[in-house]
Amino acid sequence: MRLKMVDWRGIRGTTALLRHTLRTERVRFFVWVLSFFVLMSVVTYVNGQFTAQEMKELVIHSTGEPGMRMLVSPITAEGAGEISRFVFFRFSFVFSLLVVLMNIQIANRLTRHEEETRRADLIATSGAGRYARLLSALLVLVGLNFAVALAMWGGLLINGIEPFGSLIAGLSYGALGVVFAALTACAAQLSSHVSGVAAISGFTFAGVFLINSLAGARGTVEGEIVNDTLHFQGFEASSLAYLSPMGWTQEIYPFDDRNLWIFLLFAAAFIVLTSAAFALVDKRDVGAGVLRERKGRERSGPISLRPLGLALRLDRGVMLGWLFGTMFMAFVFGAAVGDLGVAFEDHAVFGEVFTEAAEQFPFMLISVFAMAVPFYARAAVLRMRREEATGPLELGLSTTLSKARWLTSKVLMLIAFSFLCLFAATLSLGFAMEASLGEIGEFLAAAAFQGGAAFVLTGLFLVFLALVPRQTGALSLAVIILSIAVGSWFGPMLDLPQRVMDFSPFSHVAFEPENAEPLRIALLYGFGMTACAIGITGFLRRDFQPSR
Amino acid sequence: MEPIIHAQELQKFYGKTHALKGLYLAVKPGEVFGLIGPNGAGKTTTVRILLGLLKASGGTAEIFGMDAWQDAATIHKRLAYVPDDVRLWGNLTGGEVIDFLLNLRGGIDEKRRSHYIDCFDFDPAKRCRAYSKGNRQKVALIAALASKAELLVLDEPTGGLDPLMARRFQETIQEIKNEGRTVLLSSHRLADVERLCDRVAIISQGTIVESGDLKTMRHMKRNVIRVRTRDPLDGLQKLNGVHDVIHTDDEVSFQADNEELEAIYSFLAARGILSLISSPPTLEDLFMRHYETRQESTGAAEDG
Repeated sequence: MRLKMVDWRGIRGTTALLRHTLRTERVRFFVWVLSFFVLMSVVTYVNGQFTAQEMKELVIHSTGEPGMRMLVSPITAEGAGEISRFVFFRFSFVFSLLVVLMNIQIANRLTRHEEETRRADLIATSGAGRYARLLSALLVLVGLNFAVALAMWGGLLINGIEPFGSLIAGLSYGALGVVFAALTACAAQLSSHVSGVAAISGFTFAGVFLINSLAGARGTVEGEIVNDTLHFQGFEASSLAYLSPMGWTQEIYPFDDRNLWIFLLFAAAFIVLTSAAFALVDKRDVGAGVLRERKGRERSGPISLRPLGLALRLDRGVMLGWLFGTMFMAFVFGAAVGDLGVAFEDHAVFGEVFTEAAEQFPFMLISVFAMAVPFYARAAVLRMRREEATGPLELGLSTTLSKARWLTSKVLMLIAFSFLCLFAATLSLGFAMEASLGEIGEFLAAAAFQGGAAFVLTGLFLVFLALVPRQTGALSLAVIILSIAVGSWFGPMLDLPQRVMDFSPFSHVAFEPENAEPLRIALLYGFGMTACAIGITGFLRRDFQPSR
Repeated sequence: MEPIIHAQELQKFYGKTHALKGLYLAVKPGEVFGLIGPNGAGKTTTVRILLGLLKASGGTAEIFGMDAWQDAATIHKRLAYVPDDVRLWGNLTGGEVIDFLLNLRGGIDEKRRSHYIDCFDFDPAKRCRAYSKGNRQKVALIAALASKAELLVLDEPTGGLDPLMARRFQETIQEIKNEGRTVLLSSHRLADVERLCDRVAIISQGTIVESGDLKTMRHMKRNVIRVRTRDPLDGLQKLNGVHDVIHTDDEVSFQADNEELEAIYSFLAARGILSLISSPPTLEDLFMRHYETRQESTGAAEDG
């Protein structure tokens, strides 16, 4: 039998492409790696201020409620009072989310984006082999994830955490990232558009996230009560965790068991996904995806003949995604709160503590929904900016569609939809919890109050769009991150002075409506409206600014 | 007759860049008016001010006697525009976009719509993101031509069209002209302008350097002469009104000022003309002359 020889011509030019990517993307990569280092060191340092006893109490408080268990990572009994485990117990979700988002974004950029802008054609015709672009993109991403792993390692090391465990911890997130890079590379072979690739990878991640959350909620918490003192015996996720790469990361226990064999799971997933991606390269033309673009309608329906109808139709997919996505997440959390029961609830002292935590939990979730709203608002404002910068707005405004009508319909749609999402998620949470009408009313009030804080940010984004259109993306992201970081969730955790926390609109809204100050809420809404007004008038007065 | 487009002393600053320096433009009803000039001369800026997308830093821009910025939406009821770089809604089909634009421009005329779709051999069922540059241009062109707009503003409308489609475009502009509609055509394709436009303005560095109808513009200029004679043409360069003499194998070509033609022809006739072709200057010659002076002046400025 003759073995088919590998055709090395297919990867010719890989090193040249690799160098080119590292050159053009160096700033972006540097910022990501640096961010992981800073995040890891700051989070570890801040949480290191807790005493071992405080850490243990926090672990007990946040594992008692099944809904709360969805957002924390498993931890051992010995680990509960140790900063090394505690940091990952609390922030594993945040780290995983950031690593995965980075990989989806960059992998999409290096593969499908490159083809959609037709730059790939230039490369394909300049002597580079058929697989060279994909191979160089994957190599770059593996390198980037390794750098991120080392950056996290460094962040732990400077806090004096045990070196070998820290290295494994860093690598476990790098491995998660590599899997999602390969998944996105696969998606880039299937769909012929950046948005399609983002949707495939994004939905897969949402599924992975969900499975992992369920594994947490269905996990087991053990404790022993001796002389009115609770001895925490550890929190383990259910075996569902093995179905989710996020779960693999959490099952490694870098400071305890060191389940290094789990890296084999990551490696297997990576190999399967990359082989699939390379196999798919052969099945398609450069620039096209494996999935064919279907033909559409020749004539417009009556709704999309009108500007508002068209706007609805264009954003339909994104809007439905957000609406059902948030409602679904809310439902899952709500169901977990109601169904699975609270650990230690029989015990007099701790039962009370946990019941109290369980009562506050829905309101904390509602504030999380409100913090998601600015992300939608930012994306919507950026879509408006794109429509102006590189999109069809120029053509649209040359018709009887006036600037004022275009802008006001977009802004009204954005604000109305933000609140719709927030209230729908809140209702979904309430129904899943089988809450009483009175409770649901309270939830809705909480949502209306929290929504005020989100509304302020929406107004600010519109001001950016009007006054500094080219910087809208960066500025709005900075504003979101700062408001959440110094807001009511992380502000107290970071021990920030009240004056600093007051910069975040979220600090002005108490979780429970009964504790909220009506004047502050009114001021938030007033501020938001003023910002919207400034943004709208500013936009109407300024020149149309395309990006060329 | 009141001009349909009337711009006076038009100024535009982008920060410190002075893009338009007192531009004057008057387009009369029913004419096809060509706006030509090198890249960066201010064509697109002028067009965008006229559409109310940009606010003039100084001067006035009026269409149908209304202010281009203030009354943009009212003006746009009677106007259709084709941008130089047509960007569309990626997930709509070409047919849907055409319907949308036509509806905003006063309603869909089914006959005209299908006429122009056939005319440009266009497939309206594909999604816009899958269209080539030329096909995106067709979307905007069809939506403009099939509308009832009195004024068409076309910014480089044939940039992505193949020669056959560019020819179709020329024919349709003739139809539009016969319907009595007005066209402002900004273009690099001088053949289009030469063939279609009643009047032309050459824009350079933010001002109109020359304008008028092509015949008068040509009249003032030089003819291009290619001649073969029995005897050598020694001394031709020294004649008044003769420029740029080029000797090739068996032919001599040069430019001749129109007012000196008589003397030049007698000189040639005395040397036994075997063949002679005299052609009026093309728009390209006119354009190149302005372009060259522009380059010389900027070159000189840099040297000084």
